[in-house]
Amino acid sequence: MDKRLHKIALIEVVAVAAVWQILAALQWLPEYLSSPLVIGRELLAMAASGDLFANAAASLYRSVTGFLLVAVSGIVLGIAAGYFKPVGTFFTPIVDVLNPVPKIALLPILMVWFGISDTTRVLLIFLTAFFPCFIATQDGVHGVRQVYVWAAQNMGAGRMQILRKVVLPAALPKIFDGLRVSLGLTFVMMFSAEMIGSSNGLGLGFLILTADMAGRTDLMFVSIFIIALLGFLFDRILLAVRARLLWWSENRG
Amino acid sequence: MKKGWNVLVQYQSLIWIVAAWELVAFVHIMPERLFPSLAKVVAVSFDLISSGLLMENLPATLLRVSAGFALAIVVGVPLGLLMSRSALLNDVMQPMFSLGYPIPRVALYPILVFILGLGSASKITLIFIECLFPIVLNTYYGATRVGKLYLWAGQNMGASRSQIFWRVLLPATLPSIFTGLKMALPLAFIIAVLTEMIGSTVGMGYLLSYMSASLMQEKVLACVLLITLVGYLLNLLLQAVSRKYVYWQ
Amino acid sequence: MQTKTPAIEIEKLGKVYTRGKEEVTAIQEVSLQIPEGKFVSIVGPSGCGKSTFLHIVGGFIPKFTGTVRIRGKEVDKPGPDRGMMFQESALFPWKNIYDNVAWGLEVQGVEKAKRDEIVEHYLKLVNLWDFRHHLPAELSGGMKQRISLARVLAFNPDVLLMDEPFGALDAQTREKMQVELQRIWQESNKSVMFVTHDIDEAVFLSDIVVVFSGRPAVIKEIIEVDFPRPRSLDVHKTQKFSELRNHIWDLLHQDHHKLGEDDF
Repeated sequence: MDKRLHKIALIEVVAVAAVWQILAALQWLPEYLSSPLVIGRELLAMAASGDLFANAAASLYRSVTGFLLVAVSGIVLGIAAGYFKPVGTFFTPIVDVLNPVPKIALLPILMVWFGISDTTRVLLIFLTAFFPCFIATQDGVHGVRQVYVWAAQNMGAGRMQILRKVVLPAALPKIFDGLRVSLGLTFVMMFSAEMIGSSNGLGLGFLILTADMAGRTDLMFVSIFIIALLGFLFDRILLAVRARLLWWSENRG
Repeated sequence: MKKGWNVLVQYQSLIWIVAAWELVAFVHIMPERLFPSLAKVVAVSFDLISSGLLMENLPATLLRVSAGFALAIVVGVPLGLLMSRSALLNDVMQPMFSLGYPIPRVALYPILVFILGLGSASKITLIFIECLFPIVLNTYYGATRVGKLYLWAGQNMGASRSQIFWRVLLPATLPSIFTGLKMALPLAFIIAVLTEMIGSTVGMGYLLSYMSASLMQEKVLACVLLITLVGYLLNLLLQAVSRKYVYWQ
Repeated sequence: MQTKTPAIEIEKLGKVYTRGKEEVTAIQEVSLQIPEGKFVSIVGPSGCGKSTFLHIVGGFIPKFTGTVRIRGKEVDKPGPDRGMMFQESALFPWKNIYDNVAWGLEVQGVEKAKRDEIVEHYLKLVNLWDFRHHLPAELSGGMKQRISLARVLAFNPDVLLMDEPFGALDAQTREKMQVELQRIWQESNKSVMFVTHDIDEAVFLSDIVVVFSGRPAVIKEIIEVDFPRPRSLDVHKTQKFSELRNHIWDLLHQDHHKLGEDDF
């Protein structure tokens, strides 16, 4: 089913690109909507000159750093909060108060405190993506069926053993659901942070800004394309990791 | 007495944080305008309301959120329902939504601005696109998961296809539709604020930039507080509506 | 049987499923006639296809061979002439009890006054009139099935089809429901096709018990049960009851040595 979806998606993308190109060639489209051929040409030029790699790498560096921080802290704290009741009760008020805050609104004050730097951007990513991961992990641990734990206790397992060998595997599906949402948010926040805190640095968000100011919509489209591609790719990577770790599960997705 | 103590223990994490913050602010480790006391922030929030700044900007944001959100519902719910009924339509549209999900749609904003300008149009369009995804997907999954027993019972009692659609499929899908709405509304609000922070002349996001230009962080944080409250109230409103229409769960 | 038009006439009904490249025959050419006003049970080993059989008669499963006729008229789609009681509650959770029972009548355009009359009659018949404003989620399993029965009687179908309606209930509730069902059935006088795996239930309730074989399903034997009505639960204790029961049990267990790979 998945393969079929991919095939149809490919056909649709090609079809849209073809129609777009034809309309552009016939000059029925406004200049600023560019055309696949022009965009493709710029893409290759940027790839050849190394610009593409430099910008993408910078954006990816921020995203991956942020995501790893989120994943490690979110999962560790989430497990602790789900498994040990006092820890859970401790964190609940914080999450209840901080989660509803639209983190993008914190960008201005973060920029004041930490400057227009990668620290600010990674912090923003962290603050935004932490919660889905933490909450999903906590829920996942909570939701492990009582009978599994009882069976393990019956067979003489200790608390930490049960955590490692029973609770963790059973909570993994939910944990991955949380990670998937966090990954999506990571890319969104990386991009937003780059777009808003304008500067002369490297990054796909900056690229769009500079292209915008120069009126180069073709470069803007290149940037959008690369971001979309990266978002899609990393999601697939995450899903592959999930499938590998959850080889035993019926709902491998 | 014991009850009061229990409440304190339960909320201790918040109490610690607030206490630590106020201490840092009090001791002036950082200049006051950079690190304001939380009490000051709350006070300034009231100022923002009474000075009318809030009311100057809130309607614009609410308008954009409502417009984008409503459009997404009007297009998304029927689309999701139709996709569940028609294999052909599903084949065409499903790849877009399932595979397009991890693509950051905010990346489209600059292009939208190029085409539609910096006003509300580009913002509403982005909100619409963003909200479409959770609404269509949740509606679709809800409709396909409607227990076939309900559909069979309807047919058994002599209902026509149209009656089954409106009187069985739709109510049975309603819980999932609301799940999609509950996911989409916060997104709508966040995107509205985000887009207003970039070159806008009105709105909560603009207010935030405006406060930020004053270099007085208590104003900035006050604005953050108000933005959070508005978002929170919007979600509360949706929850109330959801409870009214999905009263059977 | 009788020369009158049977309530349900099934002629050479067959159903074959294709699983990938394999073809599995679920039902193999079953012919059966159910006379007007009789209560007929179908028993068979688990997975033998008796439920599928019932759903085909109900019109919920397309693509079958053979014909199904209700009072002489051929049918192949769902419709209000065959009232179906499902194994799981199919009461609409978003409507209260009253509206659930009235639903079939509403949808067919019966005017309000007549609707109210019918709904009241059947809700009182199943002794749940006091619960008419409750939501299904607030009722127990037994109560939900009684409401399902009221709902299915309300739109006055020609015949009743029941798919192990008491299968999800505990043993004691089940017995009570059997007595209730008999009482209500006698008042309504409908022709019933009742699927169950519970032999005692089949013998207690029915005029005729049809025994299906294992997959592919064919009719092994048709047994008449002529205890006088109304039957009390004491009938379980009679010699005749045991004989019938044991006979059916033997028929069902004849195939047991043939347990196949997919029986578990």
